[in-house]
Amino acid sequence: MSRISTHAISFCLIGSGVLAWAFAGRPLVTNPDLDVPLNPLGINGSPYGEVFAMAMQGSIETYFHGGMGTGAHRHEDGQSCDSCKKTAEIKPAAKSNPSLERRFENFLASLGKVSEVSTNPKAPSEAHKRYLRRQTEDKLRFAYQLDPSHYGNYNSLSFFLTEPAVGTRPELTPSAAKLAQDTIQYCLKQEHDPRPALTAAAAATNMIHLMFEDLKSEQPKFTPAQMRQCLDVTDHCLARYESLAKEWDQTKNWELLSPQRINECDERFHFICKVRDAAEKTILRLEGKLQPQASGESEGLKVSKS
Amino acid sequence: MRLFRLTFATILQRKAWAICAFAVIALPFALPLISSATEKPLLVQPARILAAWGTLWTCTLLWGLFTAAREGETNAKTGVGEYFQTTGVSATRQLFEIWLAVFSFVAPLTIITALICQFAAKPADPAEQAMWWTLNLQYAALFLLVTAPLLALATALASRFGGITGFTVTLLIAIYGLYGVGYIEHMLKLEENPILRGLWVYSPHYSFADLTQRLLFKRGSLPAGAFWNMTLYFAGIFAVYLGLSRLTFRTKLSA
Repeated sequence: MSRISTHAISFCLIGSGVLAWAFAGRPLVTNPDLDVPLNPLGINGSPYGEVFAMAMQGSIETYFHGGMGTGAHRHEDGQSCDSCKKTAEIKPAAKSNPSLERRFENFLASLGKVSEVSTNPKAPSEAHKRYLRRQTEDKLRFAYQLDPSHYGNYNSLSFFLTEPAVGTRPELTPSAAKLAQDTIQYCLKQEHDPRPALTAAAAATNMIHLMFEDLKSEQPKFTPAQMRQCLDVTDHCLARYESLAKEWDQTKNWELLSPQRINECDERFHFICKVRDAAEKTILRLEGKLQPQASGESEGLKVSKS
Repeated sequence: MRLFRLTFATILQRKAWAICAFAVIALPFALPLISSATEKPLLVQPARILAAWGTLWTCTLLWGLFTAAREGETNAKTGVGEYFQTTGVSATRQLFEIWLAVFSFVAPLTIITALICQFAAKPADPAEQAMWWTLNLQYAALFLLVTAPLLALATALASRFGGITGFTVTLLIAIYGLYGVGYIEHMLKLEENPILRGLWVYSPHYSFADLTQRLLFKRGSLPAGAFWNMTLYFAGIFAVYLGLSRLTFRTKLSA
């Protein structure tokens, strides 16, 4: 075959291919049924995403420390944080049992600590802190996308969006409300695990909290009826948690979880119940059915929550 | 078909295919053990689907494209291509035989993945099971239609510009088609731009061929019309890549 005819075949192939590509491509890209959310390797919301979402907490903590002005794990006034306490708890045990393996573990731990120590005497600048806070927020959002039903990830992100002192983006309440609604929707679709129902209940109480905050403005946007509606959502979520938890009791699914995580669920459930009761009292007061002292209780709970 | 047999035997002897075969067979069963499926047994099947197709995409895009590029480069560099040309095997024929050898490894991996997905992760509902067959077949067909021309392009580019170029260019095209296009769409939603929109419309939308999320959320098989439209679309891309591969492929360094 001559060179010209070989090239002619190639050009014909390219030409006809471009035609097919262009004609078949248009209806495909405009077909809403084929629209799939961007999700590399399908990781967001998958069983692997749930594991990575938990694993993300470590790196978020590092950035949070940096962003809150304590530098790279540096404490003022000789105070320590939870992670330091944990390391301190491990150390005495290491001394009493100085096996070679344990010594090597200690050596690795000390190397890890040294690599994080800040020798810079100057505190991070405001711009740098802001950058670190934004990194924390981005990581929180990423962790949230990996598993929107994770209690810790949702609440941390919500906290970032609602606390002007910590967050970095200008929009606050509307985005937090949307986050809460998205979370409730996502969590209530999870039919075989009680834990997302707790996250949904937390999101509903966060929404009520936002509505209470709104009351402080000159022209409140939310009525007690809307708050009552949110309270109903909270009740629905809590009831769902209880029914799914009973289902897990029967199927013995709780046994697959570590005791620490079961305790975590109990604590969260009781905490949300308390917040819910306080919120109900405040709503009753707003509806004019109760004396004003209930408000104080609700405020106290809100502070302890944040 | 001597060049096909030679290339096939070379790849077989290097044994790297065994790692891919092991990963494709074992990971769908091993990876769910480190996912949250250990706490929620109901999630074992979705985790398995995700692991199976994720491993296949990774193996094909990394090992498949690399092997195709290396075979194309070796053919041009070592004089094998020149030798076969003197025996009357044309350049296009050589490209076809090398491509077929690599494809002979990728196709079985795809079939194994589809079978694992079919038998080890099928839904319990009989109505959903019937659709499961169709969806797995559709996925396997679209996957092969997307990866086959990329393998040919990797071989052709590597024969002219070297193995590294052949591998990285095709890998980047594949990643761009799978995920980059989605990010462009995201940008377009935030702010309309005619140039960006043009680029988006005429980019290879490989994400259409990634039906993992369809399997994961049990959305059922693709409607016949949409499937044939996709087949035509990817056949168009196939033809363009084939034309480009024919133009780029060479059998010796100084051709």
